[in-house]
Amino acid sequence: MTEDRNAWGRRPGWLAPAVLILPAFVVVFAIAGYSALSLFQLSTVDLTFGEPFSNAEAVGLENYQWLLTNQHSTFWATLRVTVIYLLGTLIPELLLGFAIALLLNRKMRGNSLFTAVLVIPIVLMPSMVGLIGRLYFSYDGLVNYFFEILTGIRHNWYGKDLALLAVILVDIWEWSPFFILILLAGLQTLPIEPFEAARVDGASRWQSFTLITLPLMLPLLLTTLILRFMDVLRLFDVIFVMFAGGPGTATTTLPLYVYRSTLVLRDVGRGSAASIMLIIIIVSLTVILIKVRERIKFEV
Amino acid sequence: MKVRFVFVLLILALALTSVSAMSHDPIEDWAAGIKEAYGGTTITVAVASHPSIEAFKTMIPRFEELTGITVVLDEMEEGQLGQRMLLEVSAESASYDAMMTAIEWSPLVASSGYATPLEPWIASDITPEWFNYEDILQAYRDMFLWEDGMHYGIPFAGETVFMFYRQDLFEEHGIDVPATYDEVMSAAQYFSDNVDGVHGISYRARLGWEFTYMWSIFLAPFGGMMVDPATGDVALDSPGTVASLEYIRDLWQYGPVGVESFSFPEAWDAFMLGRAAIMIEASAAAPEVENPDKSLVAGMTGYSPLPAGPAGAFSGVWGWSFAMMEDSMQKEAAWAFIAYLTSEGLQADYLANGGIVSRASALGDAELQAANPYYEATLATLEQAAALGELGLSVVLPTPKWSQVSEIMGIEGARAFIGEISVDEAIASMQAQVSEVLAE
Repeated sequence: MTEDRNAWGRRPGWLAPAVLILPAFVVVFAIAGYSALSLFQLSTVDLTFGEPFSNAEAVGLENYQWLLTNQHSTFWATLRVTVIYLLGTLIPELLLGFAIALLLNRKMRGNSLFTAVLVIPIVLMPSMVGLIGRLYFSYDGLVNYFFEILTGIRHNWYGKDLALLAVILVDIWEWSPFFILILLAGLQTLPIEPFEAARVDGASRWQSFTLITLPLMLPLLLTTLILRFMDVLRLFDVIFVMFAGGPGTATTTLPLYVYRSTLVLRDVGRGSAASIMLIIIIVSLTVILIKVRERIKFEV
Repeated sequence: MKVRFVFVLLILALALTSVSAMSHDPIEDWAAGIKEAYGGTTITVAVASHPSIEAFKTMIPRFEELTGITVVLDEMEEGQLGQRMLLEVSAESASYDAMMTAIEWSPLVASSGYATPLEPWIASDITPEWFNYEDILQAYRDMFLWEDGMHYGIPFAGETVFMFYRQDLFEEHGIDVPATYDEVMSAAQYFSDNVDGVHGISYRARLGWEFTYMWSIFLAPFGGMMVDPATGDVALDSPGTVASLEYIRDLWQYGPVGVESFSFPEAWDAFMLGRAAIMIEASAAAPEVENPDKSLVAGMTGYSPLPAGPAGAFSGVWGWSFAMMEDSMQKEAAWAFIAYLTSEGLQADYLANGGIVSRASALGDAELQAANPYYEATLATLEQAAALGELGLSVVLPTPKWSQVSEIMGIEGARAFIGEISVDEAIASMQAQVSEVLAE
């Protein structure tokens, strides 16, 4: 027994964790890596969805070239919509979520009930959320009802100018609670000592917030942002049910574009190429956000 | 005397009972045979959410009881069913015994061998006498006719497009029912400008296939076409096609607010809630419009065949059918199911439960015509659809690639419709893309 332990102990320190992680790594790599490679392979062929792969014709990077440069491609318009949607949802959700989490972190009556109610939008089926959004934002819907009471005007949320905003507002309604719940949990685990010390030193509430709460919460804020960011870039159901990407291309985000190219236009090559580009965007921005988070964590 | 009278009564009662026992219900007789041969079988049928399926759902329990065949319905949204069908075709799988298929999908399920030709089954012993295939309108039967001369679906919800109009409003304002598309534009403008809370015209225009569905109706009246029947070349850039797209773009201003995102339920709702004076929509909407539980304009609506454009008056046919899967292991039971539900013998049940008329016997029935004021317009519109066919044209191209063609037209057309790109740009783009797809 002693000999064995000594022998194990002489090995490099990284070996034990590496051996333990290896099975999980192999499984994940086999699934994710193989899928990604297959997807890349599909992005380099000309193939109609529904036909056997033996009909595929290798075309190199032509599908990427078509998406990026062809005059009939709506890829760039789609990317623009995706970026607006991403920023339009993530920033308000983060700010609103953090603000409400700060409010709920105080001792108030009914906090637990309010927190439980917050979960409802998250657990609803996305297609139901889309249907609710479609009904609420119709010209005679609930949103216009309140708008008319407050401003005397009803808006065309189904039109090209406001459809994307309608989808963004539905996303904010559905997913702000996600930020609230996670950030509230984070706030409740913050140590009390720094806040007490600050109070003794005469720090104002604002100073406590900017100099203690915010720095301590930053890693969690970024982690939540990363999780949600990856999710937003994959969102499909709600937009599809609300507007199917229309009117025109006003609400066509990259996931809808991938769906339309692959399953409706049945162009496996171009759909896969768009999908690869979506993955590249998600992975590269996630890596950047993780790096930022690591740096902030270290500084904190 | 009294005893004798009672005795005679008893004899009479016994005789009547025996006579009634000897008289047979042909449906029950047929079902007894099916039960003996295929009872205990379970079949799985993929269907879309549709009024016809709601009608069938009320009929299936009796079918199961009579035949001993268990029916599992896998119901999903229409678009999802289309994708499911594509996946089934590509994976060459046999998850279903029968599937609800639309005219748009028929070429694919037929050419791929996913569905089985139905002529041998129609002629088989399983088919009951009261099925009467010939009674289904030929225009609907031929929607599912493939190049090999065989039919790959039994239609049960034939659909055409006609014009719905508010009789009360037209009479009140002294306006004639439009006979041309110019008159449609004028009437739509008049009602939009002069009647509070009422817009001129409602129709679907949602991005994708729904836009194409609506636009395809306007193509031929303006001299437009998708493919030139003489040469087989893509003709989306023909002057008539451009004119038809410009026309519906101009008509948009007289539609309800948000019409550019309307799917068919919203187009129907706008009319049924009294917010539109005219609606150009599927005949499937008519039972809903005439249902006072759902519609505020039931009994106030007139129905007319489609108006004429510069090139004439045309409509088209669409519809749903049941196809049977080639790889099904329960073909006999599946066919019994299809034949039973879509038969002439069960037509009254089907229509009474909200089914959509597809048979000549129903459309020609005086009593049903009186009860359903849109039957006459349906028949007239079927003639307009036949006129389209005589030109070698159709509202759905008979190609397995129709879903791609339809989507390209539906995206580019919808973009021009809202002014995201010009009509010329949209036409050039769809001409190039559709040519590429059909050339492959």
